[in-house]
Amino acid sequence: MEEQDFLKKNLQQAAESGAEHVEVDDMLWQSIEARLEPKRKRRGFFFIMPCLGWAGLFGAGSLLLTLWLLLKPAAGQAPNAQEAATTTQSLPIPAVAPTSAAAESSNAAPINGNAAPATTAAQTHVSHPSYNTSVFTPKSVNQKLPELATMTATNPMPVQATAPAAILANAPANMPASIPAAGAVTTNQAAVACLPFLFTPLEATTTLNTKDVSNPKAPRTAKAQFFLGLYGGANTLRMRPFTDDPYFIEALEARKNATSFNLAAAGGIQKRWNGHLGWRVYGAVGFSRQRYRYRLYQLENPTLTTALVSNSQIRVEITYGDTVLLEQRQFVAGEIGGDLLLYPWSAREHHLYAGPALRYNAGGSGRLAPVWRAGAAIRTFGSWELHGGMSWQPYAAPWSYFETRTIQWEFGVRRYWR
Amino acid sequence: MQQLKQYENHSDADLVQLCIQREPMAQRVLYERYKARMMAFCRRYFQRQDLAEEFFQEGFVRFFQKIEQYDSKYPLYPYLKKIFLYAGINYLRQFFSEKYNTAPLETLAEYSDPEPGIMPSLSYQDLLGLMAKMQEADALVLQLALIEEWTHEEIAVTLGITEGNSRARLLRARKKLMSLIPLETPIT
Repeated sequence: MEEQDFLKKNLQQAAESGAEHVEVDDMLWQSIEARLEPKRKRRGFFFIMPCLGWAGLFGAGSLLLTLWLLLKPAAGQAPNAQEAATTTQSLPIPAVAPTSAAAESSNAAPINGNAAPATTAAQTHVSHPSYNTSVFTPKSVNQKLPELATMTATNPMPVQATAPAAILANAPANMPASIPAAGAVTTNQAAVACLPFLFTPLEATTTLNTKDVSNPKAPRTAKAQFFLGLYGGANTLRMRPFTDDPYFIEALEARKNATSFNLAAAGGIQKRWNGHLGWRVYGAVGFSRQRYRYRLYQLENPTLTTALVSNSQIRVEITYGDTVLLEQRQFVAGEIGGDLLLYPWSAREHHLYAGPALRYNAGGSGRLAPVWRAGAAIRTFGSWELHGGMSWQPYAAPWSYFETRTIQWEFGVRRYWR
Repeated sequence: MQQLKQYENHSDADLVQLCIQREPMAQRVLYERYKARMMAFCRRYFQRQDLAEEFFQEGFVRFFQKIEQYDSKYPLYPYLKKIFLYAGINYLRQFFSEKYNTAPLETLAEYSDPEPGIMPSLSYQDLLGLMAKMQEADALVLQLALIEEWTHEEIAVTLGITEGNSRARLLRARKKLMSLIPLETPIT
C-alpha cells in the first residue's frame, strides 16, 4: 500500500509539473476564439439567415406566379383548339438531376395511369427553319421571351426528344425511342423553361443525437437523422436512424410527393477512422409508385405513366463525422440515375467555397460534366452549419449531364457532431 | 492587453460568471490561466502532439460553450480535466479494442515485482516516456486511477469496460511501471 501511495504521489507530482514544460501555441487560442465567436457576437445575424432562405424561396415562388400570370393571356390566344389543348398539357419541368427526387419533382396533374404518348403523327408539325434547335436554356428563353410571344402563334417549333431508357422500358411497344414533338412552343412553354431557376432544391437536415458525451451512462447508439427536402416542390421526409456500429440498419426511408410514394429499408456497413473520416456502403430495397414523365428534360408535352417499380439501390458514402462528403447512389432497378458529386470539403468553421466540381450520372445518361460551385458555409450555434450557394453547369455539350446549361441553387442546414 | 489585466485578479468563479455573459476577455483570462496545465494534461492522454492540440481546442470550446453547466461550488481544474477527457473519449475508447490489445490480460506472470528500493522522483518528461512504453489502455487506466484518482467504477463506466478489466489493467500497468522505473538500492 505504501508503495502504491508513493507511486501515486510521485506520478501526480510529475503530472502537475507538466505545466512548466509545455508550450502552447498562440494559434490555438485564435482557433478556439474563432469557434466561439459566432455564438458570442453574431447570434442575431445568424438567426436571420434561415429566414432569408425561406424568404428567397417564397420570393421565387411569387416570381414564378407573376410570370405565369403575365404570360397566361398569350397562351389563351392559341389559334385553334388543338394548340390550346397542347398548351394546357405543358407542365413544369425542373431541370434537375434524373435521380428519383428529380423524377418525382413535378407538380403534374394526374393523368390516366395507362401510358400513352400524348402526341400522334397527326399532331406533328413542320419544322421552322429559324428555330432548328432542340435545346432551350433558361437564359436563351429569357432573352427570347418577347420574340417567342409573337412567334408562337404562327411559327411552331420542333422539339426532338429522347426518352430515358427505363421509361421507355415501361412504354407501349409502339412508342418510338425518339419522338417528334407536337405542338407549338407557346409562351406558356417558354415560362416553363424558366423553372430551373425557380424550382430549386432546398434541403434541411437535422441530426439528433441522444448520446451525451458528458454522461457516460447515456446510450451510444441512439442517433437519428431527419431529412426534409424540397425538390421542385416535392416534399421528402427521410428518417435515418444510424449508429456508430460497424453494421447498421436504416429503418425506413419514405418519400411522398405529388407524383410518387417511395418506401424503402436499407442497411449496410460502415467504418470510421478515429471517429472522423470513414466510409459507408449500404443497400436499400423498397418500392415506389410513381408517374414517370417521358422526355423529362425537354420542353414538349410530357406524357405520364404510372408504374409500381422496385426501388433497389446501392449507395456509397464517404463521411466525415456525420457529414456526407460524397454520396454515390446507383439505382439497381426500376429507376435510372445515380449522382456522384465530387467537391472539396473544408474543415474550417466558416468558409466560402468556390471551384470546380465534377458531376457524373452513372445511370441513364452516363454523362459526366464539370460544374462550378460557389457559396458560403457558416457553422454556428454549436455545431450547426448553414450553407448556401449555387452550382452552374456551363456546358451544354452532348457528353454533359444535363442537355442544357443549368443553374441549381443550394441551401442547407446541417448539424455536426465530432 | 490592458483589458486582460483588469480580469487577472478575478477568481475562477467570477470569471466563469463573466464567461456565461459571453465576455471575451474573461474567456481569454481563464484560458491563459489553465492553458499550460490543460496542454500538459492532453499530452499525457493523447500522446501525439497533433491529437493533443486537437483535443485541447475541443476541450476549451466545449467548456466555454457549456459553461452554464459548471457549478462554481466545485474546483474548476478537475472539472476541466473531465471535460477534456470526454472531448476525446471516442479516441481513447479505441485502445480497448482487440486491435490494440495484443497481450491478453491474464498474462500477469510475466511482470515480476521489482526488488525493494527507493523510487526516484519522476519528472513530467519521465512520465511521458513511461506512458509511451506501456500499452495505451493500461497507461490510460493507470493515469485515471492513480493521477486523477478515479474509482474503478468511474473508469469502467466512462471507458465502457468492466470494473474487473479496469482492476486487472491497473495491476498490470503498475507492475510494468515499477519494472520500468530504475529503483535505487537503499542504503543500509
